[in-house]
Amino acid sequence: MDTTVYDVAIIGGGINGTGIARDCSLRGLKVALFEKNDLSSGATGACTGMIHGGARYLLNDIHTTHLSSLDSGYIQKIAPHLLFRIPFVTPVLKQDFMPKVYIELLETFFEAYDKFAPLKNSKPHTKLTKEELKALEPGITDDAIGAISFDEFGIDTFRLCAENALSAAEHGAGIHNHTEVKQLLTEGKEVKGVRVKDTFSGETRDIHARIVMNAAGPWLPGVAGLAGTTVKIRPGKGIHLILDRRASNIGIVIKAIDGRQVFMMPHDNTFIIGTTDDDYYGDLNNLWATHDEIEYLLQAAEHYFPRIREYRIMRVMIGVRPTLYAWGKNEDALYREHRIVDHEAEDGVKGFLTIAGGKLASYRLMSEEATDVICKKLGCKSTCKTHTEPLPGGHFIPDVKKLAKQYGLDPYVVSRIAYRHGSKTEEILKLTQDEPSNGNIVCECEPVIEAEIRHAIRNEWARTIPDLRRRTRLGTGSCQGRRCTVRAAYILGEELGLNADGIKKLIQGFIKERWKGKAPILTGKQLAEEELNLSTHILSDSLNVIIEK
Amino acid sequence: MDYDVIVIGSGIAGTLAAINAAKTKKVAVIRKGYGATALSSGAFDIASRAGKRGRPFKGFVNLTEAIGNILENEQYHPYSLLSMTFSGDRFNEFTSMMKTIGDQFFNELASEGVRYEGSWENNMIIPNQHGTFKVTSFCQSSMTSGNLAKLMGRSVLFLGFEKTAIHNKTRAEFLSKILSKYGFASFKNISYANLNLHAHGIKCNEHDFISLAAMMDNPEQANKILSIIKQALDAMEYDHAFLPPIMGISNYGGVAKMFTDYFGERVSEFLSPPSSAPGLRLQYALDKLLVRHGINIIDGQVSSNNPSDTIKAITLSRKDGSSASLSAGSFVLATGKFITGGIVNTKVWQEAVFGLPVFIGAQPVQDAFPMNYLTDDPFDEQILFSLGLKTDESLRPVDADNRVVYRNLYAAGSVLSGYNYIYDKTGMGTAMITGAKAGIFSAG
Ligand SMILES: Cc1cc2nc3c(=O)[nH]c(=O)nc-3n(C[C@H](O)[C@H](O)[C@H](O)COP(=O)(O)OP(=O)(O)OC[C@H]3O[C@@H](n4cnc5c(N)ncnc54)[C@H](O)[C@@H]3O)c2cc1C
Ligand SMILES: Cc1cc2nc3c(=O)[nH]c(=O)nc-3n(C[C@H](O)[C@H](O)[C@H](O)COP(=O)(O)OP(=O)(O)OC[C@H]3O[C@@H](n4cnc5c(N)ncnc54)[C@H](O)[C@@H]3O)c2cc1C
Repeated sequence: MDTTVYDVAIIGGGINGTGIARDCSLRGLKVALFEKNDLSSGATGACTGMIHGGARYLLNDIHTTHLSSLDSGYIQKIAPHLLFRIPFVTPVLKQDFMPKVYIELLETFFEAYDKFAPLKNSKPHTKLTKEELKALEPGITDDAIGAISFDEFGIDTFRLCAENALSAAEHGAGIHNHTEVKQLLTEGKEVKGVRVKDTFSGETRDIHARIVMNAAGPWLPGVAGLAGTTVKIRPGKGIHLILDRRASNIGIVIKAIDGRQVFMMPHDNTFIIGTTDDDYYGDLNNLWATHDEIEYLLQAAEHYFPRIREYRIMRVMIGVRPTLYAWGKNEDALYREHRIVDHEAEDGVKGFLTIAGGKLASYRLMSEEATDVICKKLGCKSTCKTHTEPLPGGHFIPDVKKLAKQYGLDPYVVSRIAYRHGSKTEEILKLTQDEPSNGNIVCECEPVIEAEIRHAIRNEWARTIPDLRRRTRLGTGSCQGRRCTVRAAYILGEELGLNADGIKKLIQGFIKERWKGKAPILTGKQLAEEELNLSTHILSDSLNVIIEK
Repeated sequence: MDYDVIVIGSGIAGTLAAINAAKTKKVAVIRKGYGATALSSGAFDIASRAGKRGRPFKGFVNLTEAIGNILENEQYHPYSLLSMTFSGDRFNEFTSMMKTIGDQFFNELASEGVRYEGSWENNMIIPNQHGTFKVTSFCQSSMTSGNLAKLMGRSVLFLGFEKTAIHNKTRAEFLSKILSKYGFASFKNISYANLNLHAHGIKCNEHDFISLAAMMDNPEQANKILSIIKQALDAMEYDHAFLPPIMGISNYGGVAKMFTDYFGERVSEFLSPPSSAPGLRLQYALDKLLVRHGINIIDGQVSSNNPSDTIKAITLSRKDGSSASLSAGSFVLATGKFITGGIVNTKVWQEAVFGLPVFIGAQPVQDAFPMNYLTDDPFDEQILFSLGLKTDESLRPVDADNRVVYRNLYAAGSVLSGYNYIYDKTGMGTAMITGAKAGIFSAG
């Protein structure tokens, strides 16, 4: 039995949970974090992955824009390896309302946004003529009369989340992945800890803590309910379409049929179109994209990029935002502001806090605020260091060519590892010296080698193939796991000492997870890939016979 | 008229159609490339539906029974459709027709250096690279001695190659566990080993066995690699050893013989996922067959814009951008399913060359939201993959009112609906028999 009394028990391993775990640990607090599924498997893993300055909020929520831009700059400092610049254009079409006036207005708007540019190392906007725009991206419709450019930063959100957890662990935090908080331990009106269940072994434990932090994202109302309190959010479901390759190297800001803003943008080796925003009250643990959502995005994209349906759309990504509650507003006008709820002050429940709302881009700042509240309650005097102290991989950018030569690996393979792991790259490459087969490529699309997979299992709490996908991008490429699923299952099986049934479960889990994203969009060129995929897994490997329900 | 018969597509279905029509007619095959046949694992499934999940798989080893099940229960399956023309004992007449066509075809393939073995009574269980197995009816001769149904209670060895996907303890144990679970006694012993060809100065591709197989086409390299394998295997204890499919591609016959000369039936190849050498061996042999039968192979993409109920000519677009109109008395559509773009979906689902309507069973399918034809569990049978053309008993595509669309157009292979090769395991069987019949029908 664990008799430790932790300073803080955190519920949720999204960006907020791990961000708070890091901040608290850096300030010397004793932290345990519990994630029922996998780190970054909630809203964090389903977001657009932009550390944007929040231009969108400039008109009605300038505070959010300022904070976002400021923090975008900090995140670049602490995780230089993980960020990539995305140049954007906002095209104006001749069918827009008074297009000539509109483009002037846009320019004025971006002049205002330029003020925030230095904070996040962005370039100021430029105005593009129709010809310049077409030269930049020939795929854009001939109806465009011109565009305004600006830029933002993209990030691998899975890695950002994992690195926050790694940093917390380096400073003593216990990270408990696949461990669900089932109940809160209470004494009268005071929360004293959590009762957790390992979702693999089914084993239940009680963990005592002086503060319990509810960072359960869209699940937070349920967790708040465990303490007998209520926190209302307005859950907003959002989907993205993901193409197998970059339809363009620039991001395009477009408007959907209802005037909502949607992005089309390169992300790693793929291209994403999104997002939607609709109130959602269904099962948070079983999200499916609807025909309406998909058509809504495709129509919007087609309006600006006429040939988009000819591209191969691999999958949809689905998530729910934990947006703050507001009545009488449409989804888009909802503030992206956040709130740290001190339940002692609001409901008289001691030792319990909830963090709600916000954006990925401002996670660090939100975590800082939440940690300030925690510290105040615990009488801890240390100050925040998360904006200056690099994340575990953020100490320097490694020399890819040199490492590739030194370890006899393909430079592209090494460059992908270097992107994901920054200054820790060599720690992974060293595994190929212990065992040459660690240099074997497991996922050919990305590509990912065995060493990185073993590293994720040994050091980054990966226990399933979807976990490996989040850590390494395994299975996210154009074949969507056709070649790597079974290979990865054997490696996991070996590392975790699983039997045949355990390996079957791993394979089944990943194929099911991929299917959710693939099935609703199984049209066009993707059908060819899926015929090949099922021919491999079902026809050749007989997995439908081998895996019983 | 340029040809008597033009066949579109050169997979299993197109090739069988062409060689059958060419017995009496002047035939051309037009193809835009290789399709599922070349990508396949090269094995011939005739029938072995796994039935309900969890059903012990001894049950689907019986091929005769599996064909019987289809004729009895699956009215839209091309097997059932073709058996309709028989008035007597449908089952016996159909299977004997199938055997005649199949045996003849396997003889032809053998004369091109790719020998198939198997039986019309029982299926085989062949292991594969993923550490699982596949139930199938006919295999290339370098694989059949690895029929797991006959190796139970024996010591088996899996030989892999370092730097390509390797075999290891976890995989080997997994295979033996699942086999015993499905009603087979385990092996006496199962072991594994990996050769490091790089250490012997042989550089092969890291991801699949194709480059190694291609290397084996060169007799000097083949000798060198064979001697490394001999040396390794001679030092180990086993009753049967499995190798990845590396015994050559275009010189398969020669390389396979080198192995049997030394190892007899103690060594066989296992199946591999795409792209695999056995699929290419098969496709190359088909190409040679077409040439031997004096059939013209034309490279290019076919399209058509035909207003009447008889097709006079089709349009050929070549890679160099030029195009031509080619006329014929009849046409065979053997364009495959999604992989080859035989069936396409942009805003609606349809057949690609002639814009023919497509069906699932008897149901015409147009609307494009795929979830209407898929379940939320990827391990269920997904009927979307049975999407294709519906035909009359002479394999002529029909519309939603069961009217023949073109008097002189026949269809064969995976462009057809009524079967779902991924699940019912009748892929090559259906392509073979519908191909042969479409060829015969088109020749009149
Ligand atoms: C479609 C979409 C697009 C977005 N785009 C952007 C963007 O471009 N930029 C931006 O800045 N923001 C964006 N966001 C918002 C951003 O993703 C979220 O604000 C942020 O990720 C929330 O993080 P979180 O940690 O609070 O929640 P989550 O990431 O959801 O984490 C909560 C975690 O708690 C776990 N959990 C729940 N219950 C329990 C329990 N009982 N026990 C243990 N664990 C539990 C869950 O499994 C989950 O992993 C977007 C969101 C969505 C959905
Ligand atoms: C990975 C995989 C593994 C498989 N394994 C097995 C197995 O082990 N056993 C088994 O029995 N079956 C297996 N199958 C199924 C089997 O391969 C197919 O059912 C069979 O090959 C279909 O043959 P086909 O001739 O109908 O089509 P294909 O072989 O796909 O041929 C179609 C042809 O049409 C051409 N074409 C298409 N459109 C045009 C056009 N517009 N103009 C000109 N040419 C055109 C293509 O270029 C191609 O030449 C497998 C399939 C796959 C994908």
